[in-house]
Amino acid sequence: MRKQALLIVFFLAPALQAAPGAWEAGLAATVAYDDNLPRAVDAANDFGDLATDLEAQLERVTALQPGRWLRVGGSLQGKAHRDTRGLDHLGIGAQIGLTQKFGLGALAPRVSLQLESNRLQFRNVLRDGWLHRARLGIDRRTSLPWQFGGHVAREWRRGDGRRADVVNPAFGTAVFDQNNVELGAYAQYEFSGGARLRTSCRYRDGQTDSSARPGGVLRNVAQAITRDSAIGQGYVVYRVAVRTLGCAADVDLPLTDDTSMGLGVERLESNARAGVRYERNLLRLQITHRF
Amino acid sequence: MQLFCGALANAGALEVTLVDKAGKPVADAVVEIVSPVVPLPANVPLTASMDQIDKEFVNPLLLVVVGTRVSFPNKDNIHHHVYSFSEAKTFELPLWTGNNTKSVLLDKPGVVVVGCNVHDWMQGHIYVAATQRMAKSDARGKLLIPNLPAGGYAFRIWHARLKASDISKLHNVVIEDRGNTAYPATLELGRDRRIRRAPSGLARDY
Repeated sequence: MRKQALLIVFFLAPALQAAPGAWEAGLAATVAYDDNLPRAVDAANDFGDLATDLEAQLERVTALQPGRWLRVGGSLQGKAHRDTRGLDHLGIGAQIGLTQKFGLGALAPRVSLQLESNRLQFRNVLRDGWLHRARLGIDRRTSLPWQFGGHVAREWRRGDGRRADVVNPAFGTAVFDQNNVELGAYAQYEFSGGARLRTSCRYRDGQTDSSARPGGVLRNVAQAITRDSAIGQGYVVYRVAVRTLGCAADVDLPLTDDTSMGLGVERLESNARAGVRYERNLLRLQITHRF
Repeated sequence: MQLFCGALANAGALEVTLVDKAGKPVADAVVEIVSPVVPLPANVPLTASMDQIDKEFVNPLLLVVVGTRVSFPNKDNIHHHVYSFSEAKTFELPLWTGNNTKSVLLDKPGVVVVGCNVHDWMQGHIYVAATQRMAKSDARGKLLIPNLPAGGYAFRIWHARLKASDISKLHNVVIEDRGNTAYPATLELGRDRRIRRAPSGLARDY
């Protein structure tokens, strides 16, 4: 699937260059704090860390007909942690999306379908692999200040399986082969002057990886286990089936016509079988520029 | 902007100064003299344009008279899609880059609010007047309508953020036979409600 995705972009791009459209580029710089980076269940194993993230996107936007756009492009992403350097990574991705606007004007609803494929390379190769995503979203501005939306997404993650040591012969080591479904919704208010306040929630059902020192409750709900050489400190990483509910609040301020700054917080609560649960709180500051 | 040239003898001018409730000058307001009505001179230009450059309407407030054909040259290298739902004129024009040929005939007086279906923050207004006796205020809140023979006149004030009841209000003034007759006015403007252009993250706005 990953080769097909890249080939689609490679062959489509020259054809789309000839069609009426425009190139759009964006750059986002984020500083984020995660208070439970390993997604651990207990205080003895959880820890927080700060990370900086830089992402660049380049897309060709083509109007197929009035109110319908095709977007084909790619992205480059880099993330570096202050302490947990094994989780630093680079990502390169390809995206293709179709947006349909139903009607004219700012209050017309939009439906978007997006497919993307990302190659992730970590400083520690344990987590190297592919992340594919399909997303269907709807957005509707009901008045100039108010906008609402929702989405459903499907994710597939496939790890390369390198440096995946067997910890327990009863379990496989494909911790980073994960599937997820996500539902989300948001409400946004735009103040005169351009500041935006957004509240959103998302529900994820699928698999994730949680790390901890051996001997904890995660082994009871694990689907796969391997040594977590990226975190080190004797940690083991488990693939676990979880259901997660996250809710966020974001404030976004325009700095110039094409630059904005956002500050957001998100709380995530995850539940697995047998009463296993964990929580995470995320804080992020982001600057975005559109060229 | 005044749509005729040449001074009249024994004629004065109306000078309107507009401020808001906080005392700040109000730009981009339009004053149109609605009484007495005079026919349009033969040499009034009946074509106008509202350019699109860098994803904005370059002249976001255009003053034209009834019967003017307005074009929307797309000088960006991207697609625009100009539309209006206004009672004075409803239309839509998908505009590929460089397209200068499509135009719209504005055959009814009123205000045409123009948007772009691709870039929601783009907004313009076309004020379509029944007479050429109109002008728009500058950054100092001032406008001048010259060449008015002495006598009584009635006019209306329009601004995009003015309530409908205030727009329909008639203002009366007596013009002297020479010099500028000053008319100060205070406008109660609503909030500036426009969709912002700056992006929110890398999430797409459309």
